[in-house]
Amino acid sequence: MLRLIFILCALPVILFSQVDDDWGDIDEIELVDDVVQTNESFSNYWDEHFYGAISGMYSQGARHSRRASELKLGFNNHWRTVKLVLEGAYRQNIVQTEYETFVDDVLDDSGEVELGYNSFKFRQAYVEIYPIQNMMFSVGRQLTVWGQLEVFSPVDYLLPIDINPMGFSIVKADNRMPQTTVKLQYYPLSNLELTGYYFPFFEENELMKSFDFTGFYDNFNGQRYYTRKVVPLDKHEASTAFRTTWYASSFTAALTYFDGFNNLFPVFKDKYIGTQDEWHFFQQEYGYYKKRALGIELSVPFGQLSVKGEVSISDDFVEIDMDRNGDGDVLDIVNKYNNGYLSVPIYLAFYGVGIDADFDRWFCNFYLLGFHYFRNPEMNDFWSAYDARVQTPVKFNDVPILPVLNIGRYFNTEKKGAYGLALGYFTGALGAFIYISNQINESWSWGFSADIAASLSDVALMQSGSNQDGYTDYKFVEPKLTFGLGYKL
Amino acid sequence: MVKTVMIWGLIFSHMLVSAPANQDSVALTGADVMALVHQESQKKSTRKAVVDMKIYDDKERERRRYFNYWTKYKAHREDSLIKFFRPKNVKGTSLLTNSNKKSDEKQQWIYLPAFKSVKRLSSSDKNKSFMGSDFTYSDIAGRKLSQDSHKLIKQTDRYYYVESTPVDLERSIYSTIRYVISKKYNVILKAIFYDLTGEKLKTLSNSKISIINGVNVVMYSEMINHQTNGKTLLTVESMKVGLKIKDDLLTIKGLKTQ
Repeated sequence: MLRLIFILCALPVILFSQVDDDWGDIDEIELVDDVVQTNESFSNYWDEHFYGAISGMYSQGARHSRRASELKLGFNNHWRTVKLVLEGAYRQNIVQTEYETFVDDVLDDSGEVELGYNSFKFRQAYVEIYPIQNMMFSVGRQLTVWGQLEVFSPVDYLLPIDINPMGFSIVKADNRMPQTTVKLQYYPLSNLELTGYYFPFFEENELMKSFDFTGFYDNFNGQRYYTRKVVPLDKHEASTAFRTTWYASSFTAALTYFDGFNNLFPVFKDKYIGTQDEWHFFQQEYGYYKKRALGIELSVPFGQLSVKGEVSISDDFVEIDMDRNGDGDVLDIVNKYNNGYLSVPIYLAFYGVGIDADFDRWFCNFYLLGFHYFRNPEMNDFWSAYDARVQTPVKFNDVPILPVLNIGRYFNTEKKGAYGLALGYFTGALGAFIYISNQINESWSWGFSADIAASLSDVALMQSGSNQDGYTDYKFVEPKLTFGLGYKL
Repeated sequence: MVKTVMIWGLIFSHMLVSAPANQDSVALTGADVMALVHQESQKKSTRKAVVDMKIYDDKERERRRYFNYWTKYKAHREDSLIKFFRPKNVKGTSLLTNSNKKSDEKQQWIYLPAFKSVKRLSSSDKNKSFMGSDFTYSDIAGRKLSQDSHKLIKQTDRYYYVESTPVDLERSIYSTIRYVISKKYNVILKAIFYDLTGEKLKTLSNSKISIINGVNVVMYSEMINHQTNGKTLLTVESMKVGLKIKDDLLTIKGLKTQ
C-alpha cells in the first residue's frame, strides 16, 4: 500500500520531470564565419547545368529480336534574363525479324531481314528570354507537352509524336517530338498562364517519313495515277496555338486552341478522276491536312488522387462508302459538294476522364477514353443532299469506351523502383505490358517488361515493306520480353 | 493577431534568423518571442542558398541531395523555390511555396521535369516526407504565426522555452512543438515535434551560424526522427543574402523555367 501511495504521489513529479527533460541539452550555437558571401563550387555548377544518359535495350520474341540504344547529352544555363538549352541525341534501332512477302496475296518470299536506322539530332536547342516581369519569350527547337492526364492525353495528342524505339514509356514527354517553336508566355496573375505558340515549319516524324506510298498507282484512261503525298510547304506549313492554364487553389483548368495539321497519322483520301466502263476511278492521296482543334482540361486533386477530364474537338475526315461500280448518286454529291473527295470533313470529339493516383506504396492511372464523330456544319449542304438521296445514313465509327490502365506498386516509399501492369493505348504504343524497374544507384537503373503490344515505331517499320506489287509482313509485332539498362551522366 | 507571416520555415527561416535583440527587460509572451524570431529572420528580404542535404536511415545508410533555394519576403507574404540539381535521379525537381494572404495554409507546387508538369500538393501531400528526408513538405513551407498558439513556458538568462500548439489540430501532424530560442541571436536552437498522440516525433537542432551581409544565417541543422531513427543533416554550402530576386522567379513561371 505504501508503495502504491508513493507511486501515486510521485507520478506527477515523474511525469513533469519527463516533460521538463524533453527540452533536452542545449548546445551553444557556433559562429563559423562572419563576412564572406560564399560562391558556388565548380562541381555544383557542372551538376546543375549538364545532363546526359546512355541507355540500351534488348528485346526478344519468337520470331524477332531488337536492340536499341540512345546517347543523350544536354546543357542548360539560366542567366539573369536569358536561358539556353541544348540537347543532342544519337539513336540506333536494329530489328532482326522474320518476314513473308506476298504478291497478289500469294506468298512470294520469306526469310529473315535486318531493319533499322540510326540518327543524331539536336532534340532541343532553344533560348528563353525574360524581357519583363511575368513574361517569357522562347525560340528554338523544344518539347511541348499539354494535357492534365498523365499517361495519355487527348489534348496532348494534337502535337506530333516522337516515335521512340527505346521501348515502352508511359511518360508523355518521352514520346513527344521536339518542334521548332516560337513561344510567348505571359502571366497576368501569378497562377494564370497565357501562352501563344507559333510553329513555323511542318515537321514530319522521321519514321513516318518512311511511309512511302507514292509508288502505288491506278491505271485510268491509259494513264497511271500515282498516289500523292500531301505535305504542307512554305507559306502554308506553319501551325499556331493559344493556350491558357489556370492553376487555381483547388483545381487546374486549361483551354487550348490549335490551328495546325493532323500531326500524327497521315490521312488517306480518294479523289474521283473519272469513270470507265461504269467503273469509277479514284486517285489516292495521303498526308497532312489542316486541323483546328479546341481542347478543354480540368484536374481536381483529392488528397493523393486527382480526378481529371479532357476533351479535344478537332477537324477530322470520314470516308463515305460507295459502290465503285455504280452509286452515281453518291458520286454526284461528292463531286458537287466535296471537290470529288470521298473523305468528308467532320468533327472528332476525343475525350478522356479518369484518375491519376500516386500513393505512398502504389500508383494508378485509369482513364476511359472515347471517340465521338459528328458532322461539321460547314458541310451541311453535302449532308442535306446525301441524306435526301441515300437511304442508308452514314454511320460514324465511334469508340464509346476505350479503357487505359496503369497500376503498380513501389518497392518502397522512396518510389525508386516499381512493378506494374499497363493496359490500353498509350502515347507511343497499344497493348498490354507487365513491367518492373528499379534503380541500382543514383545513376544506374534497369527495367524488364513482358508485353504484347504494337508500338508506333513498329507500325512505321511495317509500312516500309509495302509497294505496288505486294507487301511484306514483318513478324516483329508479337509477344516479347525486353530488358533495358540506363546510366545517367 | 493578424500576422500572416511564417515563423518557422524549417531549414530556412529557422536557419535565417538574425541579430541580437534587447528585449530582456520586457515581459514577453510566447507569441511575442516567436514574432521576434520571425522579425529577425526577415532582416533582409531575399536569400539564395546551395544546400547539401544528407539523409540517414535507421541503418545509417546515407543518401544525399543538393538543391538551390531562393526565398523572398514581402509584406505579409513569403515565397520560396527549391530546385534539386543532384543526384541525377531527382535533378530538376522543383518545389514552389507561395503564401496566401487569405488563408493560413500555404500553397505548394511541385514541378517534375520528366513529365514537364506542374502539380499542386494537396493537404495530405504536405504531410509526406520531403524528398525522402525527415522534413515534410509542410515543414519546408513553414508555419504562419497565426497557425499556432504560443506559450512561453520558462526562460533563463540565455534561452526562451516556448511551446506552440496548432490552432487547427485536424490539419496538423504535430500536437505540440517546443522551441528553445537563443536570446542572444533570436535563433531557434532546438525544435521538438510531438505527434498527434503526444509522442516525441522529431528534434531539429541548429548548431552553426554565419554572418552574411549583416545577417546571422544558420549554416548547419540536424533533424532526428525518434520514431524511425532516421536523421537529416542540412549544410548550407553557399549563401547570398540581400541579392536581387525578381518576383516572378517565385511563381509558377519560375517553377517551370528556372
